[in-house]
Amino acid sequence: MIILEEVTKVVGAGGKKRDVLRAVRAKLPSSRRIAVLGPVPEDTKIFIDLLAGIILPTAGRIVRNARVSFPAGHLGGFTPELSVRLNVAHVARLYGADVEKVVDFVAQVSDLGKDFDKPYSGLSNSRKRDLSDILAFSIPFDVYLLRDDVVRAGKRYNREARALFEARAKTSGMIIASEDPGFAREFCNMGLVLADGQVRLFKNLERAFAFAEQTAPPARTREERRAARKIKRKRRARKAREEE
Amino acid sequence: MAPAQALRRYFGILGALLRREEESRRQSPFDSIVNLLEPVFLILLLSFLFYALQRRQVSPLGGPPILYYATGFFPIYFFIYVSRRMRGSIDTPGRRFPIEQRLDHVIVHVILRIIDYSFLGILLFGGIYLFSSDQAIPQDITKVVASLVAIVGLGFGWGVLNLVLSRRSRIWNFIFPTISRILVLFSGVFFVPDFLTPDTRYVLGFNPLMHAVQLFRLGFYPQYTAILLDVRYLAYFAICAVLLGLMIERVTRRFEGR
Repeated sequence: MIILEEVTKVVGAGGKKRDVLRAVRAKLPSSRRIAVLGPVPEDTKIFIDLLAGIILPTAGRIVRNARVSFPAGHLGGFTPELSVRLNVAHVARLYGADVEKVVDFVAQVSDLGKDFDKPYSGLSNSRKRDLSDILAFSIPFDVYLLRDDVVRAGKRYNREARALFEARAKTSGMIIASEDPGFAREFCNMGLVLADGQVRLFKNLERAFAFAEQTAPPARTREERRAARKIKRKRRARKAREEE
Repeated sequence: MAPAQALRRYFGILGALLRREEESRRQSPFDSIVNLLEPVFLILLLSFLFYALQRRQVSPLGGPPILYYATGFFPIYFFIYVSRRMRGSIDTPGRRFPIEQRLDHVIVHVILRIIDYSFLGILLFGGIYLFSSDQAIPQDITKVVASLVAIVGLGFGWGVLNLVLSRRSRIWNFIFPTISRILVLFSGVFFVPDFLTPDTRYVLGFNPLMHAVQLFRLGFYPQYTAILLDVRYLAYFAICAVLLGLMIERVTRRFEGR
């Protein structure tokens, strides 16, 4: 169970300041798979980071009465000069998992081959993300957090990784911010709509989708409308020039 | 979670971080060796100058000059190394796993420095004992340890302040090491505070590090009077530094986010 106590989160500065959450009270069950929906995709990602503890709320408290994973694909906290093997062992030790088991498993699934004993900094960014994703799911957690923009959750890059993900989905809870409704429908059995600074939980996923569609995107301010008009005008002008 | 279980888990996290530091140090051992050799180099240089310039074979407190400088520089550099470079992988929450907190990194840093300096101390004073003087084995080990414990407290508080302020503005990165090094001058490393005029002594008496150095020296020179030493002042100052450091860390945690 993850409990949000009067959580407020303000992002941006100056004129772009806005509330992602406004004094939210909620209880998120740790045994369900929750899809986070909302009119502003960026906010759902901030929500995931808040639950993970990577960013801290402006006010209020988040109580985690469950073992919550780091967001799959999270890149912070790895040591670039150490080998991938040592990094994986470190994370397993950090989260109190069976070190040998996790290292063997990740070595097998991640397909890194010789790179597994080479420095972590040598990996490409997408490989780093895949590694972090596999690592997150190979450590037993009560709740897994997933951000769709970091790892394309629907397209795991090999069969074993996909099987691991599905096995974890059967036994553990998940909280997923995904822009792909098909993926959310496949894996989630509960919905959470984050709109206008408030959070609403739905036991029925379809009703969550329906509610998310109702919530209009936030009203634009005068400056934003003006900026949008300007961009439109520029685009039209460029098109006209190209046609000439 | 039961308290015992939670505590075990917390020590597991600290252990994992310690081990990681150890592993990355093995990757580049040269850096840490150079860091540790700075006080040793200074001690040797000054002792040499002492011989060359003064041609006296006895330090202000009796015994060989090398021991006199070692007992002064060792505690001061212990303070400097505990307090400096607490930053690192702890810059922003996005650059670590959510399970590790900023304070955990600070604690691991302090533990590592303590281990480093225990080894350095044994090697340094052992070396002086072998090559120069029998006095290098402390007469009163409790005073030496008490002084070092106080220095850990002071260094922790100073280091956390350093950590927090240097995130606010880069200038602090230049100011803090300067202040730390200036402290070396006013902590009675080169002179014996007892031999100064009462006015000067009164001003110097506010510097807690001077008390720590005096206490440290008292462990080696039992005949030393150390009239300026106030152990209670040092103890209170160290406890306040620890509490203040913890408080600053806690209060600024919210502003740490990106």
